Amino acid sequence: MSTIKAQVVENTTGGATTLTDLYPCKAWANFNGTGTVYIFSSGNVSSLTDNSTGKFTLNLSASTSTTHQSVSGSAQGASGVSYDGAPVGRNTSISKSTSSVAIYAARLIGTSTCGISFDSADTAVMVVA
Amino acid sequence: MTTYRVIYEDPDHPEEPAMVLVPSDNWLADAMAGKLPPISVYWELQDDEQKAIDEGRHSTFKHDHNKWEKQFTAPRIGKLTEEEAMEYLVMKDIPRRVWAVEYNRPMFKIVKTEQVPSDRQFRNAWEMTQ
Repeated sequence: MSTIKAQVVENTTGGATTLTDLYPCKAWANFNGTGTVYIFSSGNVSSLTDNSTGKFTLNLSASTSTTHQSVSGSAQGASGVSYDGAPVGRNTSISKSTSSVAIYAARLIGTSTCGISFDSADTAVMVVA
Repeated sequence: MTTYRVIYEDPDHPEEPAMVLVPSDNWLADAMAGKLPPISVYWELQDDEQKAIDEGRHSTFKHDHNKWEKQFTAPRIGKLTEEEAMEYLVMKDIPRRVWAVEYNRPMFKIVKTEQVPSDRQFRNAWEMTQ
């Protein structure tokens, strides 16, 4: 077995590499959407736009080549509520873009809260393209 | 961790609540280390995408590979201060109609975090104060 040690891997023209038969995540972020919103950590994200309750936009450091990104995520549910959680999906009220991904988190439980977007203290999103 | 935020309103959607741009610390570190391409690289991509939208071919749109790759290969612009990086971020991540057009009042402000309400109870009613 060989060991490859490198700090940066580029293609022959100095651009981003294409790894054959590998489909890595193109961007990700983990952020707090409550109180003073802030990003815990992220990759290929230049900023996060707080659009409104439970609705955010990830602005990508480097755009994807097309708008056909796959978006997946999850969010911690309301504080103190057992077995609460929230899926995070694409916010289709905002047009797709190669430079950003609009998302929302909606709660799964509660007769008055199910399906309603909400701010989560721990939201995680990843984008594959 | 940066203490800057950008509050803005979209003139095309005045009924929407004010938006708050939160910079990524990783990106900011890159900006201050001189790792960003010229802002024109992003504008060129935005222009091409907008043209595709205007011509009704956005669903099949794909960036020209050479232009897209400039994000990684264009000569870097050098180190920015945190304030310069915030101005760069405004021009990169906020729609151009917000900051490049003159209105009868400012549509965006770069502020400190303490100027943004932390109580989000009425988040959907936030407006930018003058």
